Amino acid sequence: MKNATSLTWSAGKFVYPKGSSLPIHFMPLQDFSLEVALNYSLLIALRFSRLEHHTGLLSKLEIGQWRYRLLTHEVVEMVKACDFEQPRFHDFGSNYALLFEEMKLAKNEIGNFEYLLHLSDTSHDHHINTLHLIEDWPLQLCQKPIDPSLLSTYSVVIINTVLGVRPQHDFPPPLESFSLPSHAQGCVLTMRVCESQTPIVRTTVYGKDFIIPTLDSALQRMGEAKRHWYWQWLSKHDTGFFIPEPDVPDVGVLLAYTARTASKLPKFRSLAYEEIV
Amino acid sequence: MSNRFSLKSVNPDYSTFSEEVTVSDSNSIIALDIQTKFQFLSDDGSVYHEYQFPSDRDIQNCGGYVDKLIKYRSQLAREATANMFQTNPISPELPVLKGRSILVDTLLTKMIDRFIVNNASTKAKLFDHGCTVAEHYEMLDQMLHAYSNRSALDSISYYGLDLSPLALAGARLLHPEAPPSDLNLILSEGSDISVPSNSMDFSMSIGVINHVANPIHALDRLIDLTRLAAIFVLWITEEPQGFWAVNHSGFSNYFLSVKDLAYMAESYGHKGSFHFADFTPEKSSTQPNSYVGVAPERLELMGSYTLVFCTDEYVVPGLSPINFGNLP
Repeated sequence: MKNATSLTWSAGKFVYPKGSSLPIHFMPLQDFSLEVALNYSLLIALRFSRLEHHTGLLSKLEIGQWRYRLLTHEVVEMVKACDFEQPRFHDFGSNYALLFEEMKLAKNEIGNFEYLLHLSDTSHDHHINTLHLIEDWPLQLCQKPIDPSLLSTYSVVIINTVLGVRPQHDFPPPLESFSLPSHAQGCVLTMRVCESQTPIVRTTVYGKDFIIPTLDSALQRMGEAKRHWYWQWLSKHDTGFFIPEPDVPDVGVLLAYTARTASKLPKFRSLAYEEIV
Repeated sequence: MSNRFSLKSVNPDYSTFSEEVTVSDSNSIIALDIQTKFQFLSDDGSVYHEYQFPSDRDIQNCGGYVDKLIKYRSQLAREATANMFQTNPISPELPVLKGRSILVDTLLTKMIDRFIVNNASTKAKLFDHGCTVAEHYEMLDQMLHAYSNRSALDSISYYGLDLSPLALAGARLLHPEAPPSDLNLILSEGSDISVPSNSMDFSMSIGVINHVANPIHALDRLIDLTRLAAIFVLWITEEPQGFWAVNHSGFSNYFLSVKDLAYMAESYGHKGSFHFADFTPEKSSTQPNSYVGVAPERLELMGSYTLVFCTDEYVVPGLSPINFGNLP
C-alpha cells in the first residue's frame, strides 16, 4: 500500500464531562448498535406512523436526523412531485427497503404502486422478507442485472448511491451503465457526486473506497436521456461520511427527478435536455 | 478495504482519566456528553476525523433487538433451536444463540411446558420486564415447538413492559400474528409496575432491574406479582453494600449486594426460594467498558447472575438452590 495515510480508528460511545473535550470513557459498539440499529429504528417509526396513524416516533429527534441523513423522505418528495400513473418502482441501492417503507407511508399521495428491489446478491433476502411481510405489501426481489428493454411504460427507476455507499446496503450499477429507455415513466436519482473536473476516489469511514462521479458527468448523463429534469445540489450533505483529504473536494449529493409530467419542487432547478445537447 | 488509507482499529483507553472522576465512589452526579461516533487519529495521536451518529439508548435498544429478532427468525437459528432439546443436543454455534437470554428462554420453556401439563392447557401468563421488541416471545415460540410441539400463541399470554415507545412499537409490528389480548404491551418505567400481586404465572427480567429508578422496589414487585417462577439476570457485587454507577449511556446502574438478595429471600420465603443457574464475571462480559469510572478492582467483584425465584414445583433441571451466605 504505497503512500497510504496511516490512521487508527475506533467506533463507539465516547463519554465526556459536559463542556469538556477530554473523554473519560469509551465503549466500543458493534455494528448492530450503529447503522443497523438506526435503520431498523427508522423502519419501525415509518411503519408505526402508517399503521397507527401516529407520527410521534418519526418526530423523535434522532430518527428525524437519520432520516434526513439518508434522504429517504426527500426521495419520496421527488416521487410525489411527479404525476406517475400506477408506477412500478425499480429501487437500486436500498437493501433494508427503507424507501419502500417511505413509499408505503406516502401511498395516499402516490397511489397504488408495485415495488421491485434490485439487489446484487441473495444475502439480504432473509431480513428483507422478515421485515416486509407479503401480507403487509407485496415486494419483489430481483437479483438479476436489469435489462432496460424489460422496463415497462409504468417503470420508474430509482438509483440511490446515498444509501448504496453505506454498509449493509447494495451499491447500484453506475449511472454510465444505465440507459433509461424513453418509454419508461421516469427516474429519480439520489447520488453521491463531487464538483471536481474528473471522478475522484474517496474512502468512507468504514474504510471502503468508492469512485465518485462528477456533478457535470451526472448532469450530462441525465441530458442524454432526452428528458426534462429537476435537480438540486446538496454540496455539504453528510460530507463527513468520507474521510477528509487535503485538497480533495467534498462529496455532496445530487437529487434529481424526471417524469412525463412533474412539478418543480422548491430549491430545485430545471434542466431541459436541449441545454446539455 | 481501502487501498488509500491504512486503517487500524485501536480502542482508546481512558481508564486513567475516569478513575480521577470517581463517579461510583461518591455517587456524585456529573453531567455527561455522550457521543456515538467514529474517531480517526493520526500517528501523533491528534484527532484526524470524527463522524457522529444521531443515536441514543432507545435507538440502540430497539434497533439492536430488531436485529436479534431477525437473526432468531433465520433458517439457521430455527434449525439450531430445534436441535437444542433433542436427546443428544447439538450446542448452537450461532453467536445469537449463545448467552444469558437463551438460557432464560430455555428454563422458561421447560417451566411453561410443565405449567400447561399441570393446568389442562391453560395459557401461562408471562411478564417480560424490559421487553424491548418482544424477542423472547419469538424465541419461546421456537423453543416450545422444539420442546413440546406447542407454540407461543397456544401457550402464553404475554405481558411486556418497557420504557421505550419505539421498542414497544417494534414489539407490536413484528408480531402481527399475536392478538393484542395475548401480546399486552405496557409503557412504563421499570420500577412503576402496576400489575397486581400473584397475577402472573412467570416473569423474567434480564439485566433490567439494575438500571431502573428503584431496583430494590422493582425486584420486590416482580417477585410479588409472580405466582410460580421469576427468572432474573442481575448484576451483583461482592462488596458488602450495593452501589450506583453511571453506564455508557449516562444512566445510573445499581449493583445489587448479596445483602439485598438475602433480604428478598427472607421476605418471600413463604412463597418460594432462589436458585442459581449461571454466572458471568463482568471482566468477561460481551460488553466491556459498560460503566464509567468503575475501577478494575471493583469490576473484579462484579458479575451477572442468572437466578430463579420459584416454588418447589417449578425447579427444573439446571437449577441449584442458593443461599446468599455463599454466592458462588
